[in-house]
Amino acid sequence: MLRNIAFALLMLTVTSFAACDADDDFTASTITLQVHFRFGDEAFRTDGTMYVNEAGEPFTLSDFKFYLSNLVLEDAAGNRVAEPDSYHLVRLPEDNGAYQISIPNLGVTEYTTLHYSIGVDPTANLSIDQTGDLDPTNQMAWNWNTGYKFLLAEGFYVPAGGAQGLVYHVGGNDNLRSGSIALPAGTGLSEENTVDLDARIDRVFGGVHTISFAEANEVKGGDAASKVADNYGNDFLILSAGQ
Amino acid sequence: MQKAMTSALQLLPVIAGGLLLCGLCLLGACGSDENPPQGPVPVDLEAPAYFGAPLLDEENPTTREGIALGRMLFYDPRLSAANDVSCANCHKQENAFADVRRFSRGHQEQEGDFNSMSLANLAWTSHFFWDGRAASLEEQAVEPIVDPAELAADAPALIAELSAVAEYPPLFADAFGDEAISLERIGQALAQFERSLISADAPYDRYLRGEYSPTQAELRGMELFFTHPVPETGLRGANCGDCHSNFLTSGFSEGFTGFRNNGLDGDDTLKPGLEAVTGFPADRGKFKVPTLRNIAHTAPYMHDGRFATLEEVIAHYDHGVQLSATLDPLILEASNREGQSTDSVRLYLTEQEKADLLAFLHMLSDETFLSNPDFSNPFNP
Repeated sequence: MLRNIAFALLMLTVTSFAACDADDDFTASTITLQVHFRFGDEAFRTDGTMYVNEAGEPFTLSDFKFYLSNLVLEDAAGNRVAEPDSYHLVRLPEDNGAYQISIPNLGVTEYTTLHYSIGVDPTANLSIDQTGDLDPTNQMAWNWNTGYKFLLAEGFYVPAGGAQGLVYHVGGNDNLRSGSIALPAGTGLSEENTVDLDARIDRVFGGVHTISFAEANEVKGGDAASKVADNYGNDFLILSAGQ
Repeated sequence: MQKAMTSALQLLPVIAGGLLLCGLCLLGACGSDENPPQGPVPVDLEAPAYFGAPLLDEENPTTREGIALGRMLFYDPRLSAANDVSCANCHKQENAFADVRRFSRGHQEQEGDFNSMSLANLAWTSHFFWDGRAASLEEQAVEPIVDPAELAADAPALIAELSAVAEYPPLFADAFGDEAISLERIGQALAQFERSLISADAPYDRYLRGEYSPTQAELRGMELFFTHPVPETGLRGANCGDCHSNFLTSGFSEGFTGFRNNGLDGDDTLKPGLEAVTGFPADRGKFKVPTLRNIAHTAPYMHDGRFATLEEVIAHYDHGVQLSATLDPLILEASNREGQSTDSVRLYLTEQEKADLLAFLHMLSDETFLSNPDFSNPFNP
């Protein structure tokens, strides 16, 4: 513990020295990920907009968010840079714009691949440390000793004959999924680099497994949660078109 | 597991404090100014690490002088048109700054439409008023002052009146650098005082700090409170924590996720609530999820104060929920019995479970907060 504190103090000191430097040289790059919320070809909204899932069932979502974590950038030579405290709660901003994640202080080189996980790794999941966007008081904490929801979708399944609540809370260490995305050429060579990503909400309920709300309108674990995890682990997050 | 977590909880503030101190020393490092620091003294809101990071306003840092001024203004009836109503008329410390009256009374005994909310741990919540129309505490604080039904002050007249009170101009100068009095500064000072109203010494907090052993009923109630029922697996729950989030027991602070329709009314009688702010029909009937800290002292309950007792509140959530198009999905879907029809919502709590929940709710009473002299009326110490 003491060693950790000492290290933190050292880091603070180093940072504060750097702050006094008037160094305008471009010696580091920043990569900003802009995550766009999409449903099919449209921008996704939580304002009551009606959607239809792969099973043909109408529904709305009033809330949707997920943890994007353990971001690692890899260059052509296979060198990897891991973002520290890499736990991002990706959610739709109040202005319905893209959710932004900036990774600063990167070496100036061309990064070819972004590695990521959706969810929270087992070590952080069962800890109360508040690193990144992990916060035991936030909406994603299941209970203070059972870890985090990795993905939350709440709204209404609206079949003929009356609406039902739609509650998908997917978490649990088995449902952590990882993936990688090939980055556009030249990413990391400028001082400021932007990478546009699409989070495809329709793919949470389809793709690998077709999810039926008639079969399960409330999911908090079990097989249905694993199916959702398989879906968000497979091309849920992709590079936006046109890059 | 429990033990490890408790000790980590105890250490976090120590580490945080150490780093903060260090950060403060270093802040001065880059400055070229050798004069001793002047102006209001910054105050760090002291709260347990498990509260998470406070939401602060960079434009209105919390200071010792600002809090002191805000406290005076909070208790000063001169803020009202007839010099007879202060903020404290409807926000009483012994009631955790709530009002025992169902509807508070303002200028000329006018009755309001809503029950006054408790004021505690406000730096950990966002979007104020029951319908969320104020984006900041600063904004919230001034509205009742000029609302014709509340303090009904005329802003220019109020500023002239306070400027003529000998002690106020110097206090504004201490807090804000010069003696100018404005409605904006009044709101800023009130917001600073309100942020200092931290309740973190309830038996629940002492339990989290490892200093209190709850009764079996309190432990069972806590478990029920934070659990969403899953009848298929036999997991029983009362569903409260779905909206009254961990530790703080208030609504989530992200965007408007702390606003919910908790089934008080059906579609026919549903009030606009958050819809009046966002314009979305999907937000109809959503109101701010309040903190439940000191809940045993803040009766009556709900935005319109319709329930006089906590027993009535628990009965509502157990079998009184009204269906509507915007009823919270987490309430709509919650039941301790399998195969519920979609035309009614019932939790099916046992009498023992209701008593256990009540025991946990009483565990949120913070006597230190309710009698903290720093929060009391400075005009009659």
